[in-house]
Amino acid sequence: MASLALKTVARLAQAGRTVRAISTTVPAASGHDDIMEKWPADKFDKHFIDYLSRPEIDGWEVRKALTELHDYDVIPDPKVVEAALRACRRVNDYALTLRFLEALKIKCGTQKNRETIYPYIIQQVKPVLDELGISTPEELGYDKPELFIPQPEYWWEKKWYADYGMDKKPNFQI
Amino acid sequence: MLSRQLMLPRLAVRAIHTSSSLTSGHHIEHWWGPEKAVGRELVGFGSNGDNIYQDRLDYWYPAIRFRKEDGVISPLRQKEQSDWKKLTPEEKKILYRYSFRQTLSEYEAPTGYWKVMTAVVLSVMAFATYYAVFLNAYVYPELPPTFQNEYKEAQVERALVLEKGNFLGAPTKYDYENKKWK
Repeated sequence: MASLALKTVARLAQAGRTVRAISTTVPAASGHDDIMEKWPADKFDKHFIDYLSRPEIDGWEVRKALTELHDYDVIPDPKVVEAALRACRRVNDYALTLRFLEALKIKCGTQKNRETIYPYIIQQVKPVLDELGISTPEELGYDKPELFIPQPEYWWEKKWYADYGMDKKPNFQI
Repeated sequence: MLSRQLMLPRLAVRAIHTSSSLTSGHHIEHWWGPEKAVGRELVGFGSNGDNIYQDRLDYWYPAIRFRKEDGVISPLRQKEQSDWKKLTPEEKKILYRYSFRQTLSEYEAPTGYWKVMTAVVLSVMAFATYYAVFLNAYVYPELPPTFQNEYKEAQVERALVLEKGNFLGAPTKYDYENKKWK
């Protein structure tokens, strides 16, 4: 994120564009363009870190913040990841930490990013993972599929009824 | 749940129904979302605020837990309150499985249903082909003689004679002096 912002500034400087310091008109709709997509990286990160670091945060709010973070075209900064993991610890939701680490992989996008950026983030937040006792999905073997989840609208085999405990139904046959 | 009159206020109250209301599309009373979610803890907003479980890449945190509270998970939830270093990997997995249906790798795994889909599509195409062959063989009448090549060639030769000098069609392509096609 930070490097992205730097690059943008450098590109602006190369193009010879100058930032106007004095505006002669009053911006009528100031903040019109001040959407979070265009925030500088440190402000964006601070927004989420501040929200996730509130001591009185509850589980609903943690998920709200993580869903919102998931909405942006952003791979979360390790600092944000740390804050999110600590927020999960505060609301005692272990499953949410695993889910969030998987969300990082989603946000990495391509397979190449997933192989480079995701391990980097994990390596950066390693102290926090150790401190809170969080296992990564890889350590639990969740980087490979563990279960097969059938989709009955596509294919369903009769013998799966027994596996799913549906043989207790009165009219069950086979 | 609100009564039907409150959920679906009618602008004009019709006194007489000429059709049965049983066959008329979707109605809110056929939505069993709350009944399906009963027993599952409501933990978030999900994608639209409904208390349904969905695994979606764009809303990765579903609104409710996947499984109901039962005897397996209750002691684990107590244990989760204390230090997470005391949790074994199996317990961590159980905690995940009670909150979520499938992991990311399972979500992304190929399902193999393309085989069913391909089989259905090819079956339909094969059936359509055989049906067309059947129609041509047993149902449709013989094609009229104008479709035969001999007739078409004779027609071109007729045009060369009758329409000589025409600025369109076969005569423009024919060299009358050398008696061959240009």
